[in-house]
Amino acid sequence: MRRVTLVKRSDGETVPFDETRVVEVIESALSAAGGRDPGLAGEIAALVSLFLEKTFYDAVPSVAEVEDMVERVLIDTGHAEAAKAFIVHRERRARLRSARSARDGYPEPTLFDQRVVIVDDTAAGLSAPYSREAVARSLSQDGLLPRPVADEIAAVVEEKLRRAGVSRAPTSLVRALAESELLQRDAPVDLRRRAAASILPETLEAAMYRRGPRSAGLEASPTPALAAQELGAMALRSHALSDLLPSDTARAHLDGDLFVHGLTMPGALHAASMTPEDVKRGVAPGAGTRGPEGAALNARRLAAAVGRSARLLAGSATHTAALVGAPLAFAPLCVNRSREDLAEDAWQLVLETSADPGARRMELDMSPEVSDSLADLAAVGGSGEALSVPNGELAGVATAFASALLRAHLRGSGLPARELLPIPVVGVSERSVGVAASRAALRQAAEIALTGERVIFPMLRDRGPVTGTSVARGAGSGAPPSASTCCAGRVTLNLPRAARRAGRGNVEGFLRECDRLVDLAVAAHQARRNVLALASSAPGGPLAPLFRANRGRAALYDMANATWSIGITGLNEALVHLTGFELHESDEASVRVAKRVASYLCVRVKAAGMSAELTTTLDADDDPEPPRRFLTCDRRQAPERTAEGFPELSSYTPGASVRADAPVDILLRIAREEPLHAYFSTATLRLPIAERDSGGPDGLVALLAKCLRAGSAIQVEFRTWS
Amino acid sequence: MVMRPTPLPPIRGLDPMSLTAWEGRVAAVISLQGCNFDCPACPVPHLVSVKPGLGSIPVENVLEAVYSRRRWLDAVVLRGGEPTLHEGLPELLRLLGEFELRVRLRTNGSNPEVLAQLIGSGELTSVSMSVRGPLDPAYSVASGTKVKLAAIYESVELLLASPGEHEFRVPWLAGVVEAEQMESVVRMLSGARRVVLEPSPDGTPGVREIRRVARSVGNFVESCIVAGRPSEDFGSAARTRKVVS
Repeated sequence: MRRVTLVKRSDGETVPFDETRVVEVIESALSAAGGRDPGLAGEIAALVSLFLEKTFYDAVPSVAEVEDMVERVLIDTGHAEAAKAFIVHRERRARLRSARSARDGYPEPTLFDQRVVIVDDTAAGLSAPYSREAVARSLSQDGLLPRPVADEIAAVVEEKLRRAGVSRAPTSLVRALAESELLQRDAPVDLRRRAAASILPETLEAAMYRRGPRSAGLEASPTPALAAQELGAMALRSHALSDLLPSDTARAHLDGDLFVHGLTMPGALHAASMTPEDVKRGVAPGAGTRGPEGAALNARRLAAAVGRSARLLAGSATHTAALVGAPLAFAPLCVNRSREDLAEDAWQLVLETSADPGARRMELDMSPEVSDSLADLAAVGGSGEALSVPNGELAGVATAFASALLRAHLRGSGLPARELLPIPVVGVSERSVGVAASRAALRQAAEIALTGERVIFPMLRDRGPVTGTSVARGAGSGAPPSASTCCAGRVTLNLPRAARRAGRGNVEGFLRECDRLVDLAVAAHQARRNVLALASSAPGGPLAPLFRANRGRAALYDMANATWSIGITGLNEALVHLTGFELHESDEASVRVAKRVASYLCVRVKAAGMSAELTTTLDADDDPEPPRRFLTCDRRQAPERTAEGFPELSSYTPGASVRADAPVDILLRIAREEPLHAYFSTATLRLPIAERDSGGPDGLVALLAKCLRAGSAIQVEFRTWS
Repeated sequence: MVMRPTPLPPIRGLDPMSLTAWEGRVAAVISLQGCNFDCPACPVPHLVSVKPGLGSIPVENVLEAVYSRRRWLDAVVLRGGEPTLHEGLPELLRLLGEFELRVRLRTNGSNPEVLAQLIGSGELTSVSMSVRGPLDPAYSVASGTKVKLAAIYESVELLLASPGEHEFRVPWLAGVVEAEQMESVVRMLSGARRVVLEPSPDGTPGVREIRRVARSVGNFVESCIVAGRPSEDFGSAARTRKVVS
């Protein structure tokens, strides 16, 4: 046997093998796992050397092979936790290498170098080791410094970072340190010429001329306009992560512990709703209903005005904009109109509220709710104008208008641009399933759902008309419902990660981990509140039309009443870590744990919001983007464990749902999901159903009636296929 | 002498939720083994023969599955095979009645005595009878066995006279029961509250042709629909509603 004296680095260079490096690495892995024995690392390193000698008696091992050996010896000697820490360390280094490989001319970081400082490059959403070369180049180009001075300052900054003992630093910190050093030297330059939200030249080139790695979030072949939008979004995202959010929240977002929504539009709301009554009263922004001198307001003019306001609203919300109470608001203008005129009015409203190409679709309330009380009209922001028709007739006209809207949508379903039509929102109430005219309209909505289009069916049990949006509902029972509501921001928690950290069966540990995430999410909301306060209160601010009273008109929203959403996703996979079963498996054990988690979070989120003076809500986040990103991050961090638990999944299950392809019947799916809805402000029951098994529109209506009467589901959608 | 309880019927299938077995209702479907017909286009041929060796689903498991879902169900549909062949059927109906769900029986109408007894007991909410063709020798061809036409006729009369909910299903069988025969069956069922015209399992002759039949003879019955399209009613009651509106 021959001692291993040389080792081959990943760049091909052969360097002397240093056993003390191996000892250092094992020491840090053991200490990360809570080990305290000072001599143990040396013993394990000796074992590593021994096995290396046996294996590579006639060859030079590579660094990766040495690391494999360290990993194997740690596992074989029963230090699984230390091995895990070591694997995480390796994975992180591999990530850095891959990020670095996208750039040219940067030196490869030395493996086993414990002193490396990682700089979070928020522009590209990646991290890279601190590089004197890159900083010096940036200083000499941006600060117009002579290169030797730039080299010197880069070295001082690195030294300061290491002395501070930080292992990671955002680019803003690096820049601040460089600025402070320049100030001390009285250098006549202003580094703020280059703002915090910086985009690397490589990223810029990649977006404009050549497509970069998919990891940078770049899709193939954009138009120049789209490329410019993409770069703008990246700059704003970078700004939000480096300057607006607290650093630990930004780091948690980058690491995949949570997902802060709307980073590319930090000055926008998450979701917002309004009603045509707001347009009638002149509260809604951007549009008046006044026509030529002496002309009375009619349905077509109102539809056009609503369309203008709706487009402004859609531009102010990153996720969802909704128009609620449309049938009731249009009813007084449609009394005594012929069936054909009603259809034309409805068609115009559908067209006016269609999305612009590339924008998100609006949600349009088409509830056929029959109401015989003017109190309901007042609840959706009724103008209080004297009506010359009996209430019962008005309610009938509202139902007819809702039906006309649904017919118009069904007619538009055949158009090439049907993906721009508004998403129908059809409230399901005892009256709408019981009264013949409303039930017929509900059947039309079911017909649209059977074509594969998305239709949202909110369950209206005791809270009157539809309020809010599908991701942020208005006030619940007990409080007067408000049609115009807004959700200012949302942060989604990575529950599978929290459960993996807590370990199998450790529900208490999982809840403690959730506590930490909730605190981070609230801190993110507080930071965003400051930004939105500026955007909404400053004269000419982007949100000022929504939040400021002007020229005698009231404000549409009040920031004090805005809600702040904390979403959860991947509850199904978190249960796998905690109980070993998915939500649809086992008798009731997984549902019990799921209920406990949801009820705890419900209380915890409210309490955290109260202490921060925010109206926080707990929501089951059904957006597919966060769970996809979370699984990608988790696969990077713990590839073996994730692959073992979820070998074939392409994404975690969004929200608090049963896995989409779980082999269970619809009723079991409903029975497992709907009890959890009692703890959320918004959650969606997505029911997969084949067209041939649906029993037609009547079958879907029967199922909706069941969901309304027998459970606590908040809203229902169907995923149908033929 | 030891009195043995009547054995419960062998259950060979459970669909915990169906939206098509009873239009407009969420229903669980329980399939019983054994049939006295041998229809050439039977959609469930595995349920035809009575073979004790095939095994069955324990009744208690089925009842538990239905019970656990009762909050979400409107109804239970019992079908075969032919359910009325089993002596234990009344007992099964009694057990299901405890769940306070509506119960529909799907039968071929070959046992009018049992059917009368079940309707009289009040355990059934609805009866769905399959009428295989006009009451002539073709009926035996469509049923794959020698059928007592008098029994079928008696069952039809029984259902027409009973106050409860009923429906008659008339299946298409290429070469045996086609448009003309279907029309003749619907005329025979004149006065029925609901008739459902079914295409054959392979989809022939197409919805358009079945719809044409429904349109031509639908006014003989209160409600006449094509299977799977409950929203299009060609019956006399629906036509009256349209005229009034």
